[in-house]
Amino acid sequence: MWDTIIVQPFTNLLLLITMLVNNFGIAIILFTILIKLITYPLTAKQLKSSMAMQDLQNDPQYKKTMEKYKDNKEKAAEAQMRIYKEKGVSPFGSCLPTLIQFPVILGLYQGIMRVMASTPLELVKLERLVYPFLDVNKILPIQNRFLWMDLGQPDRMLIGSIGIPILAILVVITTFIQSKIMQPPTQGGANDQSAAMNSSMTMMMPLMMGWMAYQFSAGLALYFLTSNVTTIVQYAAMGRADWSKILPWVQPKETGKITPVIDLEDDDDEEEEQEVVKTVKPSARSAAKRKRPKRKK
Amino acid sequence: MNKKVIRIVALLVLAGAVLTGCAAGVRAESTPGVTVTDDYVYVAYMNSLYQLDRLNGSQVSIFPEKASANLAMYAPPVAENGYVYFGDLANEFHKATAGNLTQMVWTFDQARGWFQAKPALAGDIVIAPSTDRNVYAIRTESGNLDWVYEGEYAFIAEPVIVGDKIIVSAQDRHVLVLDRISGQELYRTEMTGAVLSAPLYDVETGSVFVGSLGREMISFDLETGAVNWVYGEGKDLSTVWATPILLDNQLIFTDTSGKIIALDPKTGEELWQNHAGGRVIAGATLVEDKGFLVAREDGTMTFYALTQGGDWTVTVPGNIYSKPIVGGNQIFVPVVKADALLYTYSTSGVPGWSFSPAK
Repeated sequence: MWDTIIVQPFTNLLLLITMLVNNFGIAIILFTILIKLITYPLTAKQLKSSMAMQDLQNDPQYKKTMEKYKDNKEKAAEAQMRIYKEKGVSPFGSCLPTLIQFPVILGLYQGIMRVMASTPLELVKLERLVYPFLDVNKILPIQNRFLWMDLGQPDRMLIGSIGIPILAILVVITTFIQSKIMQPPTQGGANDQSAAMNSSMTMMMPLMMGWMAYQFSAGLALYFLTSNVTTIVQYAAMGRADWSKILPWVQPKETGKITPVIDLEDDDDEEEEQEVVKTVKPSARSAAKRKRPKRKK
Repeated sequence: MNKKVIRIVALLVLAGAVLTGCAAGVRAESTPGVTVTDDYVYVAYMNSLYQLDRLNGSQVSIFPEKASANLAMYAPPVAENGYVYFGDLANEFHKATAGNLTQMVWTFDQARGWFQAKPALAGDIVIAPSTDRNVYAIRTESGNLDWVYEGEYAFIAEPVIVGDKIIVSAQDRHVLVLDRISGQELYRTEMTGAVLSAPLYDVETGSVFVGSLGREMISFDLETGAVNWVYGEGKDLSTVWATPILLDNQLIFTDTSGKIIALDPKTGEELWQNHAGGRVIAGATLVEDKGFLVAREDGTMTFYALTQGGDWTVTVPGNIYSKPIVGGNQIFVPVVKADALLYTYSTSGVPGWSFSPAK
């Protein structure tokens, strides 16, 4: 079932691209970009939702409300849900696109692995997956050679007698860049924990991805690299990338005096309008909203 | 680290494990590689090479002593003169002492790809094709490299040695003929599709027979390289994965759809056609002077006797992707997706011992 619905179409699409461009390395790159483009609306939705949540959670008045009900979880949850509803923010807004994307990512990965069949048994299984309109004889064997790499083997560029894992190094660098520019901004105080967590993640993720790229076949590492670069480009295209975090000569994104737009007070807690200096970088949509301070009646 | 960090790291590790199939080290799936000698049966599968007593299937020796996730092997070894030659998926090729596989004589580690094909002994060199697109000739005495042939695609089929010539099936739609002494390519015969199995050489006629994924079976003269005939064009033939056999002046082979086809080896003219009743990857296996076996992918193995009334069928509990091996009066059947790795039968179809590795 999983193979028929997910893996087989992905495998055949990858094979079709391989046939068209006659190069498996380029096919992996194109295939990954294509899938990333197809899932872009979901990615964008996920990013927007998580940014909206971040903006909301960094809001001082929201924090104040949460602080107020810190000893009454039920009431806190109630107030929280009301705020979400008022602001049109869904706490599950970023989960659903991720859940939908997960089988796609798995299918993409498994498709690449199936096409990189390197034993007779794997070739037999690949032959069975190929749709009848794709002539298996024209597809097999897959040329695994791409630039200096054998896509079926872990990548090591031989310089003298030393094998340098170029792709693994690139995967570490791009994962680090991706984590860094996507890292949400944090404030002091209560957000110290969050900052520490982000910092750990920024170190852990690249190392883990790099280890996987070092251990497994170059074809998979090429997929990781392409996926990272595409994500960075997508993120930058959405205007969310903060390059100052990795390029010291780039000016940090402007942070300004903004007025919270969230009407947080509950029935027994009337608050006056406040102007709060936020270090949070506003999203394009919320920045536009913030130009018009909302007055409470 | 706070709990949230631990949770996220655990989630990442889980995602990594799901993506990578939860496996560390060499990741490849294949069928057991089996070699039968007068006294022993060698089974290469996953992390170990097992040496079994041929009479009862009891384990005599194992390599390595302690299984490692970074080591896997599927290529059938070659055993001769008290030594065993075998390659692995950690890019190494070994010569070990028969009777104690952990007693290494030498290890060749210059390859950059897996050894998946059964090697072939040619005098004082052992020919070991690798997936790094090279065919290595290694000195049997020292383990030093004698010569290397650089090809275009990964080599996964067993080479055939005929005098001073080495015949190698290549995935780049060719059959290569190399000089045994120098490793130089003498000539190549073009095929329509990738060649995944070893060719068959007929001593009597000096012809080579080989099938390919290009839905064909061809015959060429080993001395001159001239193609004798090609069978397949205009025929309803599927891909041919396995080596053909010669029996009773007939060239017999199967295609993946299950067709069993007999040709005149001299002319390529079709003599008869039959159907195994299911997909066949392993091809036909010769049972000297008696007939031949065809093992279907689903485990149904049928013996077709030369004499009338001698046919039999057994159901092997597993999937069969590689040829059963016949040694004396025993048939050894390597399987996957089964309780055991190897099942044995007599040449009259009576089940014998089976081998499952200790867990």
